[in-house]
Amino acid sequence: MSSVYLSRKIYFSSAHRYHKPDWSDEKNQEVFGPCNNPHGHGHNYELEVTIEGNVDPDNGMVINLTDLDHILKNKIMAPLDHRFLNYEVPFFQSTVPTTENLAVYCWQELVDEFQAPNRLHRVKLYENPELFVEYYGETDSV
Amino acid sequence: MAKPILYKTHTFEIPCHHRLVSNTLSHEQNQQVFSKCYGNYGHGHNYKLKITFRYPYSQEEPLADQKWTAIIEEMLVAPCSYQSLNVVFANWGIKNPITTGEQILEVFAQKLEQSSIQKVLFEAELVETRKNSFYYSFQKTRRAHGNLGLS
Repeated sequence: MSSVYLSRKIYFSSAHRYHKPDWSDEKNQEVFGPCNNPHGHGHNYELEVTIEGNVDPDNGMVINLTDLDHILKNKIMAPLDHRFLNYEVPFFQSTVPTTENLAVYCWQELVDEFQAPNRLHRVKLYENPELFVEYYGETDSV
Repeated sequence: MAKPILYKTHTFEIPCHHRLVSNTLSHEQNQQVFSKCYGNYGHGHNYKLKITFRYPYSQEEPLADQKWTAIIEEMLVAPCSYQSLNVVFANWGIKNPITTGEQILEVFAQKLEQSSIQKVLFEAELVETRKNSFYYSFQKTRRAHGNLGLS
């Protein structure tokens, strides 16, 4: 059977602040500039999630969108939408909530949610229409 | 700790003038080939240049890409913005600068490939208008296919 890739987009708005607790205030300010301002700022994020799978001959679907939406709601929207990432998401208490780390976080939250032969292929996270990060689950030492 | 391999895409706006003309063709041939793009005084576009970096993401250098975008700003965006690409390319030593989208992207890509950020370059896209865009691949490797084990 040939693979088909299904993509779904969701939109969430979150506050964040770039700050590494193990760096001095001066180094944080120097590296992160205005992104280090104490009260944070926010973005309208757009997340495109791509599932690779086969079309089920019984229903014509790779995955039932109701099931996919349920996963995205529980794993992404509920914990992230209208939240301050540094304070309300445990992962970002020690990890800087850059677009890069947020994309990796979304991957880690979603990767175990799909049953074979379906699998998570890619997450593509837009911080704004002109800047985005893509992650396929690769690491530099496999 | 293993670092995630990320693909990060930045978009640069480069508004500039150009005119399609080849100095190896006659006036009539230029008219025939380039038509309205060969207008006497040229015209311009709000070009968008999208550059995708592929790199292992380090928590110690969370904004490493800022250095790379600064190099692109200095090397391409600043010298071309609000200028004529025909003139800029001639000044860069290109003998017959035909500033089609594909030529522009190739010139940009070759300059980037000779720079210090060569290792992290993955893809470039030049958007000329809503209807026209061009791709350039810096690397022969395809994007990851994860568990399938394809390369």
